Amino acid sequence: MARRRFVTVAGVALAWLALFGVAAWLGIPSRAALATAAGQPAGATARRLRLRTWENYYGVTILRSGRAIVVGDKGLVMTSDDEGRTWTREHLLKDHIDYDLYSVAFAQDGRQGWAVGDGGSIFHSSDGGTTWHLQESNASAGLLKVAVIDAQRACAVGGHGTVLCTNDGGTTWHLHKFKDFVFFDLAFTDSNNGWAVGEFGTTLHTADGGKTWTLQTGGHRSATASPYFAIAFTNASNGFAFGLNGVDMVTTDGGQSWQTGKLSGEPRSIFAAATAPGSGQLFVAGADGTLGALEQGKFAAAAGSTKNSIIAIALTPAYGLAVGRSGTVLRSEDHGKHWSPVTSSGPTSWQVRR
Amino acid sequence: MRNSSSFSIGEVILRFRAPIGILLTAITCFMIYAAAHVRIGTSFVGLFPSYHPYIALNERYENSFGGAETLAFMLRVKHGTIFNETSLRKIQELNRAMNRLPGVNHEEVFSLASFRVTYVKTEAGALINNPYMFPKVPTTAAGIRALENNVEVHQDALRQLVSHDLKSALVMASFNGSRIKYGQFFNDVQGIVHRYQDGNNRIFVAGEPMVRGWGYHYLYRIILIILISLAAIVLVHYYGIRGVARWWAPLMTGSCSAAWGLGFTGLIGYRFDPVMLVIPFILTARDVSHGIQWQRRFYSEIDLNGGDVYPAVVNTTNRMLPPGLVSILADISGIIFVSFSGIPVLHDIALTGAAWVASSLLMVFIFQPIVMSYLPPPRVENAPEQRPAGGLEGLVDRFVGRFIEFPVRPGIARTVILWGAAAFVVFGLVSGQRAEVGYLTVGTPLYRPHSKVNRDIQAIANYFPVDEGWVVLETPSYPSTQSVLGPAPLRLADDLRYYLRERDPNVIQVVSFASTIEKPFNQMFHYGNPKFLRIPDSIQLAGNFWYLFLAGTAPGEMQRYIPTSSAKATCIRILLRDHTYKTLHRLLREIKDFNAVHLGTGPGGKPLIPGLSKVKSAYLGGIAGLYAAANQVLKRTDFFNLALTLIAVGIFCAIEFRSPAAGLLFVAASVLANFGAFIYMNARGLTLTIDTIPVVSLGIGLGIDYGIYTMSAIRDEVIRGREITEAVTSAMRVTGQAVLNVLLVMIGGLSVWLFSPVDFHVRMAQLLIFLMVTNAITGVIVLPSFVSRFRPNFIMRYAEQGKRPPERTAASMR
Repeated sequence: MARRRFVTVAGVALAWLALFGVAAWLGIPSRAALATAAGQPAGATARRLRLRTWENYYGVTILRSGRAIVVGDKGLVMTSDDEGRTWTREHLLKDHIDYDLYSVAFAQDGRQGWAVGDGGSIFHSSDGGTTWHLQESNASAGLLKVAVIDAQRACAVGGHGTVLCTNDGGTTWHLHKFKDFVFFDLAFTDSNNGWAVGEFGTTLHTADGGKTWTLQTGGHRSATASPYFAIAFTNASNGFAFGLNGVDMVTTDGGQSWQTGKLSGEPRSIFAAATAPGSGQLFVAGADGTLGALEQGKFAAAAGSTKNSIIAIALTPAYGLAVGRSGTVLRSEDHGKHWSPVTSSGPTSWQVRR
Repeated sequence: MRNSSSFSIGEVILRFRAPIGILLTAITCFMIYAAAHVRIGTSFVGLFPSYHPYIALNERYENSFGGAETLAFMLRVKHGTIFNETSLRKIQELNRAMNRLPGVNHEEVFSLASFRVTYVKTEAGALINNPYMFPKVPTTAAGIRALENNVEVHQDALRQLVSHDLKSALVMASFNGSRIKYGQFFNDVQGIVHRYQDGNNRIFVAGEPMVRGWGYHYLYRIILIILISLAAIVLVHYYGIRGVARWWAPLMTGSCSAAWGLGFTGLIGYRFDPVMLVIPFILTARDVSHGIQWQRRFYSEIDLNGGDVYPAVVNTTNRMLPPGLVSILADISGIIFVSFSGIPVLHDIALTGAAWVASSLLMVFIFQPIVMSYLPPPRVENAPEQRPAGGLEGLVDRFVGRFIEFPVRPGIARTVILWGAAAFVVFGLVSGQRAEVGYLTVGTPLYRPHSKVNRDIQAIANYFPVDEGWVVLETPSYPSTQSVLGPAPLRLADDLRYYLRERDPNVIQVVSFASTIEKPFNQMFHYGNPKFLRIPDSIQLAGNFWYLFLAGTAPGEMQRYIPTSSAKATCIRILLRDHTYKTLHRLLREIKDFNAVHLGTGPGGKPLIPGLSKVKSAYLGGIAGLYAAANQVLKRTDFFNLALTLIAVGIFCAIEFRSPAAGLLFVAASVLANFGAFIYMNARGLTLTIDTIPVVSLGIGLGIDYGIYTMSAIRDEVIRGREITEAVTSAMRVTGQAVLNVLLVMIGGLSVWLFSPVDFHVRMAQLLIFLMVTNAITGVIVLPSFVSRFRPNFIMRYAEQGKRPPERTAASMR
């Protein structure tokens, strides 16, 4: 009898103890369960773009299909197929490193294109920006701008005097080095003639689709010669280059000669220039939110304000995009007169958990 | 009979009562003297586990990267923006006032008006660091507009100091905690707020020194509450015992124990934080509670012995000391294991608490009997059973009378109670499993959610990050390409910024030399072109910027990023919106994941990313690291503490009742009574923090004695030859009454704390009341029901031994 009671008592007590043990053991996975999935960046699904003040966008292009492609910090490539309303995001790596991408450009066919960036990285797409493949650039300097002549031919410029060109779709890139200068931009007026601009008021010209480059302006170190950051042509004869703190340069003879100081109205640095297809109007953008069109040689600011620098613009008859510092992505639907952010508005404050 | 040959502890004590009494009195006098040296004080670093790698990291770098104790003033305008002369001037004045506060780290005062907050400007052939608003506040409209424009352009860099809506500005500084006198500090800060606040410019204050400072603001009210609650204990006890002679004995014992406890505190030099003053109160109440149990047993022994003091004292001591010893050992084990947490404050509290409770063993079971033996017998007019049923005593009598038969009456009610108890155990275990650690809100749980201190913290947290954590990259020295100025380590730091900002909405900003200095310098160095807002592509260039920054900024600025000229460590500062458990837990996991990818190795053990093989990422420093360390230690401490306490209870009870089954039964009873704490904490949103854990730990042992006293009383009755049913009823009559009285006394004292201005006191008082009620129910209902239902062998064997009294009671008069 007594033994039976002892067994009962001990059994009940042991059962309780076992429950305690199980609970203590469960306590460990319960903490792990708190680790809910973090807000992963969107993968292949297109989503509305949230304001990312920690992210900078450096390049933008709009394909004939209407697809927009933006490149930026940490190997970022974003594409939108609905005129910038929703975006897919992807980070491209070179040797496990997510180098910043500074420029993206596509051939007229809208399928073959390149994105270039820091660490001499060149990525190629042959399906309109859906997939990307690393190409061997043989360069380590940052590549700041890429310009595409056709599906086989393209050139990219960047730091340490780097001018890279390919005529085989990017299988091989040929390096033309010009001193140690930084080249910021380049533009072609036809399949042979192109100009690259950079430090110390330097302009290089090619007349053979990038095979050889000759010095046209600048070319030597000078404390007074400012750099050019952007170059664009409105037609085969008229071209414009813009640079530090309002410096400019104009050609009216298809790039054979350049005159400086012809334009006026904008003292801030201009980082991007682009010609609107159709109207042929030249748009410029730059430091501290500078954004507008050049009308009769004068800068006319567009409506819509940001204090963030704008680094690249792209325009089509349907819509335009301007991207830049601190998550800036602006869109215009009225040929560049008004620009508004496509990002969901950022919080000026956030709700605190109580 | 006094010359019984058998050993009796009561006899021994009384035989040497003179020397023991003198010795104890002398020690008590010395302890009163030592208790006079107890000081009120706060040791912030003492709140965190000193051995933890996060704390070690923090200590290693806090002189360079800034102390964990920061204070922030936020100026917020009602109308317009801060860009008007009055508001800007106030920001400057606040900056100066901050710089004058005692204990401030002068190199760590930041605001728009600080000369340390600068932006880089390119001029022909030079990079210039310009302060935004130093030394002068702009007075012209054009000057103010220029400043506003400048701030807007650099808004991301000024994220910590100017809000997005331009209506708030922050003035922040870090402090050397050991040099802060919190009471005076609190008054100084309040003075600053009153001086500069006006109709349009409101000033909010946040920071750990202020949270601690509020305790000093309330110090006198807390002391008043201690006094009132002690008075309440005296009143409830006096009324409960109906002023029977020697009613004061338990209070005397409690006071002496308090003297020992406080004396010990004074001797080890522990300083009580005002908020923690609830702990000595609880400990004193415990001592009084043991004293009451003894005294009530003494009265009933006096009755049984016809008013003869000597045998009554001996018997009471013999009967009460073993269960008393067991329950006090349980109390001690409930708190002493907390000292293993490695948290200095908990260590001190645990030692103090253990010494305090241990002293009550001497006081209640040795000193109190000795005092009683010297006094003439108290005139007990009538036995407890025959007293008129009136007042509190009558109420308790009637109440006890109602359930006294309950445990022995088989039936549905008893079955329900036992099954209910089992269900409660399961519920408690589940709640325990879900017990949360760390903070739940951005504010402090010490005060009410809508108290001034929390409203201020929330107001500031609406616009600015209020907590920061550090990831420190430790590398070879410059000019190794793996030093902190090498391209790969710089890129690693900047990648971490991007990784955290992209994933974690709680991360407001990540500040590092790579992101905050190198990249903007590189951009400025390249004509301000944003495509050069990137890591310099060579260590030479990065080294040049390092030198340029060092040469162009105030002394001490560089140390915030890179502490030494050998450039072998750098701080990545993660600014957080709060230090809640979820925020910290998530952050730690993200840093771990990041390191696994970026510092991980590929096949063959080769690093995935070249140039980082000698780079170590140490985390998490800063205030967030302190809290994270505490979180990691606390849950472990609590479960460790609970488990060890239960083991201790099991062992002590097994020895006392000479049965392993009894040990297990008491373990189960403790689980039943104490896991209720988790039910309560989950229901009320209380979490285990550095503040709650000592009180919760004290609560664990708090009521175990109820069950032990009841069970030993039942056993004694069985030994006296009673039938089990009768024994339970009779034990319940005496012990049940004593337990209920003790319960009422404790609740009487604790309920005064419900009116404390400190929310922590209110919640802890509620928790302790809850715990004592569950312990009382377990001790006087569940355990007797269990005994009479299952008749465990460790009780029944005395009945089967044929009523042969064991040796221990040989001195009994009967």
